Amino acid sequence: MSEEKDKAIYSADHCLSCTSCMSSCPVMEATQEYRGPKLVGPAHSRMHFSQEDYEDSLDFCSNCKSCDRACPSGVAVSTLNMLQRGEYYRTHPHKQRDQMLAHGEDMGKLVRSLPFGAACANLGMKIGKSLGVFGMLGIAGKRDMPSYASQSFYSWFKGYKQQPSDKKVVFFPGCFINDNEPQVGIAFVKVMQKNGYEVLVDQKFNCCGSPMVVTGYLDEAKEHAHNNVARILEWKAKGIPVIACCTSCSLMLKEEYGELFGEDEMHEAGANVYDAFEYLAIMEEKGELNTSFKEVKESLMYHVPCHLKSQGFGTPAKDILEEVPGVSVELADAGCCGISGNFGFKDDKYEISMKVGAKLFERINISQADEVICDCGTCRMQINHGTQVKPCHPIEILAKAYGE
Amino acid sequence: MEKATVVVVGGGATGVGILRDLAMRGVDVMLVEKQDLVNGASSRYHGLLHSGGRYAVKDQEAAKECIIENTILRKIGKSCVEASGGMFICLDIDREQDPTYEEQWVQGCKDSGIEARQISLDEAFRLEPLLSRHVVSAYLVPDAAIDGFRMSWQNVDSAKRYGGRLKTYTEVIGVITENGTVKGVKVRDYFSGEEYEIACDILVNAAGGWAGELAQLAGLEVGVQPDKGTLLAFNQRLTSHVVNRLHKSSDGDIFVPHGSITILGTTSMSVPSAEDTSTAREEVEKLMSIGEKTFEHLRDCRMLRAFAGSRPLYIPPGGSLGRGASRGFAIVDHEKQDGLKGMFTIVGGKFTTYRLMAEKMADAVAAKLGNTEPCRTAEEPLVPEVSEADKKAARKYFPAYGTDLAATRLGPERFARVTETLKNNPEKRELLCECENVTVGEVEEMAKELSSFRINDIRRRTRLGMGTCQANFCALRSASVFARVGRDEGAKDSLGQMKEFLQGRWKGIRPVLLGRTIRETEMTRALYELSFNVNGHRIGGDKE
Amino acid sequence: MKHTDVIVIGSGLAGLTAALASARQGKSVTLLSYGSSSLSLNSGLIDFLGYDDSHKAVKSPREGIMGLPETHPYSKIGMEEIAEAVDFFRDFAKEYHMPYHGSLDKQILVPTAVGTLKPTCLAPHSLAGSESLEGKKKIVVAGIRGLKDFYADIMVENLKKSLGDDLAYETIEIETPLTGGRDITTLDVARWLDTPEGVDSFSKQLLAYKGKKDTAVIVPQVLGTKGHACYLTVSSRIETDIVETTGLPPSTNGLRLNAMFRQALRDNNVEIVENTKVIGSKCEGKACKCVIAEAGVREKTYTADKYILATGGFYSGGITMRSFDQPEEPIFHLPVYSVKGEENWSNEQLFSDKPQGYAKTGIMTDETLRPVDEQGQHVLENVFVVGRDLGGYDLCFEHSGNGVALASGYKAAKM
Repeated sequence: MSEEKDKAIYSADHCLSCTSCMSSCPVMEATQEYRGPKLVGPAHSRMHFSQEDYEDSLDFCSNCKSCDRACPSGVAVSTLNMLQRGEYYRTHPHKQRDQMLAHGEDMGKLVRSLPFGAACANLGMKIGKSLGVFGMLGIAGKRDMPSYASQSFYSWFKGYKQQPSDKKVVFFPGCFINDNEPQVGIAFVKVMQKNGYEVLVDQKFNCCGSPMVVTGYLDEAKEHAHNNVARILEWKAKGIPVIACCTSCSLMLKEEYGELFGEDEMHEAGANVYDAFEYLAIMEEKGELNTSFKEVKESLMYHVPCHLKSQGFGTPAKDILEEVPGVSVELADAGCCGISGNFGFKDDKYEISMKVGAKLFERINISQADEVICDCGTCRMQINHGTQVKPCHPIEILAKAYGE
Repeated sequence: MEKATVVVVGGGATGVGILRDLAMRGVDVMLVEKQDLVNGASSRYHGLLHSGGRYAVKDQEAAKECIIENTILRKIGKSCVEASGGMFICLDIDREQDPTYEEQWVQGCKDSGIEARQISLDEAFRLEPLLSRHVVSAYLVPDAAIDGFRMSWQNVDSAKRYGGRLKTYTEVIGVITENGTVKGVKVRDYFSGEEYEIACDILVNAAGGWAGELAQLAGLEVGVQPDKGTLLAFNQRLTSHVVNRLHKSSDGDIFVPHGSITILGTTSMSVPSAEDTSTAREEVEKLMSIGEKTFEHLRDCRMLRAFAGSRPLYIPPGGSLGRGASRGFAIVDHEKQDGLKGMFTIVGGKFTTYRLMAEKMADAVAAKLGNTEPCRTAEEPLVPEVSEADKKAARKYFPAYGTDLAATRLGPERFARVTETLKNNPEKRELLCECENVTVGEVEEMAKELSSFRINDIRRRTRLGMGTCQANFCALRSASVFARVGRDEGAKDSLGQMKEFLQGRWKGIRPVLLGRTIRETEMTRALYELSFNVNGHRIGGDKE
Repeated sequence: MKHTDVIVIGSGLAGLTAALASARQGKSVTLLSYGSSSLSLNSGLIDFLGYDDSHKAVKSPREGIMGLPETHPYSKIGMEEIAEAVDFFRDFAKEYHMPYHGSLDKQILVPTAVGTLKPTCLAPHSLAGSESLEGKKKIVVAGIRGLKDFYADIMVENLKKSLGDDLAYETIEIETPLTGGRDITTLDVARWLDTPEGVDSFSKQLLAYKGKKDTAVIVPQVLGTKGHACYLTVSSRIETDIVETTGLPPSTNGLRLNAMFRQALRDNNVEIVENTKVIGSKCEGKACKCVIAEAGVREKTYTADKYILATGGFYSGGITMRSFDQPEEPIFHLPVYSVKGEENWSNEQLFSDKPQGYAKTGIMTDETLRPVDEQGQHVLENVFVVGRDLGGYDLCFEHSGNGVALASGYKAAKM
């Protein structure tokens, strides 16, 4: 019974129709085509009984979750939207680009299975872009697709010798860090080593499913959830937490599984998952964080990803990095970057995504900071695309502070 | 002087049923109602179209009538009936209390011709995930939800096609008799106060809870005991089926999913007057404590409001009050009973069998008039249906999940007009009521009706203001639309209309002013009292 | 466990004020916030007292406040602090580019979206209705084509009653490029007016009234989202008084005020933790040791020397009532005052000549704003209660909500 009432669909009952979500929705600010959060998920949840139908403007929800955070009543607005979207695609065909955008993990695996796969794929994407192939597929032609790293994180990890320890954590790299930005995962491993932790990986994990949820592959995402939840619980039984550096991955593993699918194990597993800096902050509270930092003379501008804000633990990366001698951190505080996972990769959403990000781009462009930091991989891509600045993950700065 | 062969008094289900039946038999008939349609019990009930399952043990005759009428109403009133199906659930406490009841009930259904199919508990929880896990057995029956207002209104629409006439907000204040024969009625216009007479040969008293008072106007006595039932409306569909407890019928054990909401009812309490539609905290508590046996999380669910209506229980001459009063219906020929020619009273009964009651009444009236036309109300649909093709074509102009609902509310002609409006004027697609998905175009259509005197009249025809926010947003919007297009002079008083509309919502909110309902009220008052100052607005004018 | 001098729970007007005033005194402050705060629904007008208990209009809020019973929050706060809070707010508003007019000594009457006038004490230029409407001979009500929730026709109908039908009234409709999509809100129009093209187009469409000193133009709350910049530009271009009304949410002016506060909090190094619901506390004796907040799937503890409770009463879940007559304050389990009995809980009329009983539900405090029990004894020494969490007043009836929020938030910071 308890699990039933915990499902997102029942949270619609808490909606007062107050419009807080509408005032906070970045997509509404950028386009008149989206009806707005309260009028889609919560309002329609009362109307589904009446007929088979679909709200066309639901397509514009980017799942950035600004509405959920704005809601004074705890309505899982964006999740209601995603459930509705998933319902639609049960009976309607997907666009070809959705297939691609939802399955970055498969693409990554394919690339890794080929000799010189990464280099070829990167070249292919460049050519594809110049020939307008992406545009034809429905992918924003103006955007670079994330390029593959020459060596994946998992492959690097296999060859890396760690100091063994009784204190262990499992690292969940997620597709983007594994395939595209392994340096983030590498920095994480080194940071944990400096704190006397041994990092484990578990290649039986799947993609967290976030890209599938937002493109309406709900059943597939549920399969991933079942697999990942089983893995997390197995680690939990051994007393080992699972940690992610990507905030969309951690949000999905921690909270969204439970909200979307409402199974008891999902809530239980979620409690064994941490965001990297959330975990470091907990270590610090216990006095276990290694704080013998070297000086890093950098002023940082920090874009806090939406999916980190949703986790409700504040901005521990700022607090920790500010302890590093020479480091100053300023919050960009300029709202959503606009890309929201694969939203900004869709050709018909590209302009909206850039409009949403404009405030952040402007803030970064006029800022005097040495470097921009951000926990989320796709946010970093968007910042790079919108400003030409190349941001890094805060864990990379921390690794620097440890002399790595 | 206005004239009709038959005047029917009372715009509840029975009255409109008689209006339609007689009109279809070619009788010149007029219905007068002191308020809007279904001001009494016909809208103030849980909106259950009984399968008869509820009467299967206690009253098999009623059960048989129910299942027959249930089948007929599904056929003639498709757009009023939501064929949700019903579920009877037996809880562990029910079985403990009376271990033999379930068996009797199954047999009773069988004997009454009601199909009751037992389902597994897994199936029951799959169909109704929020059900208490204390359920020990479950059956499916052909219960359904029925919209009392729409059903009544469509009866009127149908009657109008046959020449039947309707006057709402027209109260009967006298019965005119001459030499022991009814000659007409004296009426008063609710708004203007104007009094006038309507001549008739036959007067049918279908005033429900007010039948006794009407009879008194003719110097007669009709024993009617108003029996008040209180109900709760919840913000969401908690169930997809009508859910009944499988035990000896008692208060508060039926949940009816009604469009976007759920209604829980009902209590039973004798009251002196049918005007008493007050609801008390105590009744709310009682309903909640019974309801949470079926749905354990009921207290976490948002209540929209409480409301009450009075069943008119008939007490035959020399009959007793209270439990002894019959829940069946009775037709009194006052010529036979009291020696007054040309007057009948019909009283009692239940919504599900309104058509049957109307048929019996119309038979008696027709016999007096020498009219031999047969009753056709069971065959002909109330209103033609909106075609699937029309709905499909209209889909792009209506809000998502709004086309079918609008089609059932509006019927084919109005639906065609509204579709045309939305098609040609995209700005009229604006959602005026965001909770119940009602467009400006539809509200305008209804606001223009001659029978729309107040926003509340539009509300009953559209569901405007009946959802989550209880008019927080649409009170301002509808007042403006009504002021602009309403035909009645009263529509121009936008502030008065707005306040009256919100006051109507408040009446139902007050008894449930706890939990999240308070939050919504805080918003209502912050908007209208604080931001719009509608309470102290005279400040700039005469009030210092 | 992170420790700051002050923790403020809640980011409505009372919480924002408390946080800012605390920070300005050099305290380190953590603001724990859940939801985007009620300011998007709030007119952002600072009413102090519009009506007395018998529903008589109050001419001078200062005098009205002096006459309130001692159970009223204002009586606890005291006139001196109320006046200081007004100065504090006016200075802040000026510094952040949306100066507020008015004082405690008289009411400004602000036109509303239904054409009534609402009394308030402090209002930005654009909403300072009666100041601009004084002595006008003609009122132009300018609607926006396609804008939901602004109805020029009923405004005029009711303005005639409020301002007198001897004035000339005209309604016009302004065109925007926003039509053709979803229903348009005032916020959409205000964002359009944040752009140079928007201001140009809007001002041009009002040029017919340029320089007409006897005319005022009334518009919905659309003059930009950023302080009073847009108001200044438009006024200087049309050289005619332009007045905004209150309206249904989203309230642009509330959002302007919210943005100003947020900027000021950042400038004063207040740490704002978003999306975290405080669900409990640990207390020893009469001291709160920490508060516990939901941080997604787990709980997080915050400690401070002082805690300011600004959770917004019933509306925001700061006070809950699951069963009749049993209101609760879920974080500190403070004693909650409420009237008992169905007959006292609410009035038969929604818009009534007396306050609604339920609305007075809240926490009683002493003059330091520390919560007290029925005997008037302190329950906790380092917890302070502000805004709508306070008991003993019906803010909608009195028109006093933002005034109490501001004054109590300010005073709690000083304690």
